[in-house]
Amino acid sequence: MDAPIRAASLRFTRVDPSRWPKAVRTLVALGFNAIDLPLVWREYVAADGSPDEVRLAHDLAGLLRIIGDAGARAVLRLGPWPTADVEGLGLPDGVLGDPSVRSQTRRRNPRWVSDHLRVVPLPSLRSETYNAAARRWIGTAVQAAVAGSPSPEVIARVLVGHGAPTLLRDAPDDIDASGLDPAAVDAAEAEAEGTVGFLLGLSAIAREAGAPEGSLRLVIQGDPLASSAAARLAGTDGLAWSAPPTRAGVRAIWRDARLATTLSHGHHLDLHAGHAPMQAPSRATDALDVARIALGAGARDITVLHGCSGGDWVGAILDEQGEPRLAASRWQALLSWAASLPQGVERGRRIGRDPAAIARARGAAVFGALPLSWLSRWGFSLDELSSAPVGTDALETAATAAGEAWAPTFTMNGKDDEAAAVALDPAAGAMVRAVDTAEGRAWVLASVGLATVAAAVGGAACAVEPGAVVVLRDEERAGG
Amino acid sequence: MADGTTRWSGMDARSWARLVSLVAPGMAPLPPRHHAREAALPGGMLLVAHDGTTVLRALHTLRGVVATGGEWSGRETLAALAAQSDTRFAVALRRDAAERFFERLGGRCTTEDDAVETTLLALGVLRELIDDGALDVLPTPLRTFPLPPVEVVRATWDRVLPDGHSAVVALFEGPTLVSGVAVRRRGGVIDQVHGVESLRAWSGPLGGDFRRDHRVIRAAVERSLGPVAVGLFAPEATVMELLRSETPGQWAKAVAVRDVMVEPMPPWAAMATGVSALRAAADESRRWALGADGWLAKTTRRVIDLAGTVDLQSVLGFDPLAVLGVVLRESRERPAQPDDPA
Repeated sequence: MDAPIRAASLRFTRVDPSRWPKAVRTLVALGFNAIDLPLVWREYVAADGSPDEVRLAHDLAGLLRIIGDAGARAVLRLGPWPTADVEGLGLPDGVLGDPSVRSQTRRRNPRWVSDHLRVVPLPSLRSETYNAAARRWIGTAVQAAVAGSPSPEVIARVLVGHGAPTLLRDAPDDIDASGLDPAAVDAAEAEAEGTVGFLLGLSAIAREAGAPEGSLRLVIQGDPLASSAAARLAGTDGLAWSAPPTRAGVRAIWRDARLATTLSHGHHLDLHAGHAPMQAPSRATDALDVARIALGAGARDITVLHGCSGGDWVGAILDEQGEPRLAASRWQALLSWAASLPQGVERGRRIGRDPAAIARARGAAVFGALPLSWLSRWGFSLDELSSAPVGTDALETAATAAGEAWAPTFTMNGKDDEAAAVALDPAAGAMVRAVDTAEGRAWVLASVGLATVAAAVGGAACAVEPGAVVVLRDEERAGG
Repeated sequence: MADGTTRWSGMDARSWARLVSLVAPGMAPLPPRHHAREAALPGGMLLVAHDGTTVLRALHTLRGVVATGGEWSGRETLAALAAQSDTRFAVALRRDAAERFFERLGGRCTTEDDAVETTLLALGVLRELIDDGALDVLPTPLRTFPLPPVEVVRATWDRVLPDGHSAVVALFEGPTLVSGVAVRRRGGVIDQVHGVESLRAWSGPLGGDFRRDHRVIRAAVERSLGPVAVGLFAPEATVMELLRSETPGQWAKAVAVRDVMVEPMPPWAAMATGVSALRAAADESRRWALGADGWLAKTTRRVIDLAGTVDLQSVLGFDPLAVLGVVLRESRERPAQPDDPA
């Protein structure tokens, strides 16, 4: 089944089981063809501290049957730290409380991360104890899912890895590979090595436990261009990119769109419909805006977190009774439009491996110990963090000068009539379609506020003047 | 306070954003096309990174990079950069500030700390960083306001929202309940937080006049969560105006003339409005304060009758409403509510 995955998550342990069928059917009726199931480790712990295999198998069998009956597929989000909205990082208290598991600062203090208004110790991905416990959880969960699935095809994706810590670092508060400090770059590389080993270990266990062929994705968060480790991992199982919560605004939305266009090449993109209660508020339509740009730009497989949260989340697509909120109809329209996009075209861009580009991205993180993800909560992109043009600015420059590392490189599909996508018009928010008929190429001019950027379509190279040949279409006709 | 065990429920994006941005207008989410316009206005927040001698980078939350390089000479530089970028809120971090923060916090936190202890520990470390010169903040609330001991905060919580009790805020726009929150304290923590969807579901259809509807909402919250210790029912615009008002006595006046319903009114709330009224009285003429017919005199007498022994100013060392007012008056206006479908 090669259909693009358009998933919405069901935070099923917070929803009464009697409402599972209704929630799944409603999300499918909105146009989602997959249901993302975050499995929270700490919610499946037996009395002896081991994974509660019986309850896990029972819940998964029921859910996978419901999903299969609704004609959808399942995305299993196994963690060990599956989403940002879980208590205690989603880890059992026995694991969190084990001193041998803890990551440590330079002075051997525990690294604490915020857990709502409390703090909890961050586990070290290099801890053997933590690795063993996490692998056991992943193995148990995959086995339970495979055994409970009505058919192997129902499981579309198995996502393993930490979604919440950022940038492939062991510690989210650690030096963010600041280009100002070469020693910090080395330290971050060493941290990243630990993360790579951790993720590859989890994927090996999931594969052994029977994860369907091609379903595995390793979850990380942040800008891949800031990490060469991301490129290495992408060569194994493919990645799932968890975009940080969007703070609405031109820069934030463009950043997410750029993330999508950069990463969509065979990877899985997480978007946030709403936010955890302790996070900065966002609009219900923020995720829609990002999804529209991302899908238009070539993002193929996405999950919208959360489709139905059952509480502890602000602004899920469905309310706690499984009824659609007002924004749900917009998701329906968007997914309907997305279904009309040309298939079989690998739009988007392969992960950058250019050392110069990676160095430039690192040079952007001038705040030293503050990670990019922290700053991104304020809506900063790489451009705003650096005095030299990187990221969007460089993309814009390259787009008009047929650039190199930062320029989007698109694969041709050979069909000009399909080589089109959409973006936002700066003034009205309407959809814009740009077609350079003379050259037989089509472009999107993603003119979002301050930035006018040739964004994504099946062209051979980026060589279009912003505003070249623009055909305006209104939002409704474009399906957004 | 809330922690990881708190259950949050019934929150749609729009009503929650309205509630949060009422007290933090800078956090109001904006649609994309508004962003560029907002960036041109005064406001936002400035983040400055320096190494003790040189400004590494100055970032504005709305305008991106505003400065790179230049000499760092302490708070004067921060104030100058803030003035240049037309903002009153600014944070300067020395390069080692974050590492110091996490080292110090790491050495003091334990897994047994609750939300109050953790918050006070973190604030204490931030204050140390300010004293060390690793962190500078404009304006300077951390330096100005004393940090109360944990026991005092807990005792204050016990008085503000006793265990087993709930509190409710319901905000209206015309006849419509547009935003609100109901919380319950149990076992020493806020165990449930409900948004406007829950309030609507519990209350059923409302009449459209908050002066009458408050009884329905209060009864519904009591049925669902338990006894209500304090409830605030008012038009959203009125509350926004009162939060920004620097005229003493405005809250007391609004309560007295029923522009705002505080029901039930616990002793601490009566005292808070009473103190506010008394401050207003000090600003007014003797005739106003002592006369028998003015609203102020009536309110003051009523408030003094109601008031218990709790005075937040004397307990906390500052008046939270006054502090909030100062911050909000320094903030830009909350932008018009986005055309968001919820």
